[in-house]
Amino acid sequence: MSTWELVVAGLRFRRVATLLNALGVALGVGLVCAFLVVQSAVVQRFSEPGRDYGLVVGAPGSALQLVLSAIFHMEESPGRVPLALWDELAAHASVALVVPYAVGDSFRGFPVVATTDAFFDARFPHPAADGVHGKLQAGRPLRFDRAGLDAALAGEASHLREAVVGKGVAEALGLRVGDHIEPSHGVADDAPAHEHEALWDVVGILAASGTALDEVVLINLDSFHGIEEHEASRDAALSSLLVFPRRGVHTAVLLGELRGRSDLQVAQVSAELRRLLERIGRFDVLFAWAAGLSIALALLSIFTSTVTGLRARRGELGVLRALGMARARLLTLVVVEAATVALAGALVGWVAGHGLVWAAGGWVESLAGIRPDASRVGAAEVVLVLGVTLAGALAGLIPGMQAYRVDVAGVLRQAEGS
Amino acid sequence: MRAMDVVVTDLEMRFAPGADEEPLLRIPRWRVPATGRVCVTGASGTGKTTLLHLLAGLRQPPRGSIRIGDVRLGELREVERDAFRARHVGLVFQTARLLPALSALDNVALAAGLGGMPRATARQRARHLLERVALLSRAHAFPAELSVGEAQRVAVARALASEPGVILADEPTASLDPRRRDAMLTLLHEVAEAHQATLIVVSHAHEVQSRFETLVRLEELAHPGVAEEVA
Repeated sequence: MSTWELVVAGLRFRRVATLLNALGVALGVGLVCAFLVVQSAVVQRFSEPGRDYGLVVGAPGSALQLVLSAIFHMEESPGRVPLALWDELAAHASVALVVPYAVGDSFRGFPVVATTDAFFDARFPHPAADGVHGKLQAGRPLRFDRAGLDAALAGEASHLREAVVGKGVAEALGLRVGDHIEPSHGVADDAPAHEHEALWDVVGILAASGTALDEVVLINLDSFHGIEEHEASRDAALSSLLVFPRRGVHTAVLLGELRGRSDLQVAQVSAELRRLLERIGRFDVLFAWAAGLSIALALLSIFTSTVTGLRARRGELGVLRALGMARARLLTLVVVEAATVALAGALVGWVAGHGLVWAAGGWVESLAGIRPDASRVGAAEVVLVLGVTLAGALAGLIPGMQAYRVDVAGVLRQAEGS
Repeated sequence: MRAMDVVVTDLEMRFAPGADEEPLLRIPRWRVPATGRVCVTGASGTGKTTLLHLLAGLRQPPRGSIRIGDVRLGELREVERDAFRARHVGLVFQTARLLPALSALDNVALAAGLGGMPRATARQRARHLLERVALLSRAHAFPAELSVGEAQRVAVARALASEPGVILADEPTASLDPRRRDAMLTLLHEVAEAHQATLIVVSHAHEVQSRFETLVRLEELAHPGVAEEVA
């Protein structure tokens, strides 16, 4: 019989202890795996959409709030800035592209973002940054009329009302190109909202990006300010400006210039997201410690179970030695047994962890607005399963050494009572 | 299988190595010829089991040598002694001492495999031996499902699994009732005869001693010439 067959037979014989030990490991590994999947979704949620963005410029206030508002459409804008700032930045020698945003409306729970056709510039990173067609799943970009904007800011009604909706919005509301939508003023669920009594033509649907842009409705900026309810905001017409500096030192140049001004604030998207992830990371560490502790306890259980089991099995080990099994093979037998229990537990935990994420995905989404992908397997999980198996083998090493050193004659003599 | 004699020379074994008290075991010279069948007797605590462990290579004497066939056990490294024991020595204990996680067939096949037989051959050999001890129908039973007598017969089959040249049995009938004891002794003699193996049994039971033509008292082995060669 091979060592593996002996291991399997032994584990099957001690099935209750095997099952309990494996379940202990499964519990810890399952929690860690579920945590890793959710963490991965959080990191993706907050890092992927921010990738390739440069700076966000807005009203003075919280830089993180500005980024969350402009990139993730999760927070209200800290305030508004005048249209002149857009012109100023667009003319700046260090700026390659500026995309203005004005927010404050919603459509059936989805935020409405007023912007310009600059959103569809190839340099705007999301959705796919390879040109206009790559950004759209259907239809065409919205048009923007600068003269119309100026007229709207002067109090004239806008005649160009176009909307491009995110993929998620289109799917959730069944919108197609050619449909008409009627945004409401106000963004919060409990905010007093009323419809603008004007219709926007859906002219395009954004390609899926896996970012917050899937869940927004874009309208042309001139139409936003053509609405009577926005009359009060015409002096400070913009919520934020996404600024894409030219390559090289231009980011540093812009930051140096803009940080010195009191009438605005500038946030470097990557730096703010790093800070945000660091804050989330503190909770990660706590959870990781708790989950890691449960794995350590499970491994300790394997260790103690193997040690106490070996005391009861000393007679068996003596017989195996008497039959001619070498000490090294006895050691291997015990170590492989412990590693097998750990591996089995780790695999069950791995599957259970993903099952947990799958089952609780809706709840996580309702809680945090993030739906983790249960089918996604990260490299950390592979490392975890292998690491737990290795730790299981190490847990079996000490009892394995006891088996290695077993005094076969003494054990047999003791067992025979002579 | 090749018949093997067992030769013990100048053996001394103390309870504590180097101690001044009288040795536990002292055997100046003792030879059991190949295919011989010997029962070693003696009072409890005189070292019968220790002698068997020494002959099996489970312990090493501080002084003296043991030769089985052409091999001096003291000249082998431990791992070589393990391999030699697995291949050439069959052990029967007071109780069956089967591995509880393995079926009767696997207990026997394991010993055959440790003796160097390929897996298929080992299992074939195990079936043959279980048939020999009239337990083929119980081949897949686990030790807990076997009666005491059945388990001890499986233990005999296991001792023969690697076609050993020497069978060593330590009080093999101690746990059996009289009827099973006789059957066990008959079985041991039969299989030793059939396999041309040297059989050394240690026992203080008169019922066991009466089944052997050659009896050796352990105390006599300490005196040169008294039991230099038996069988």
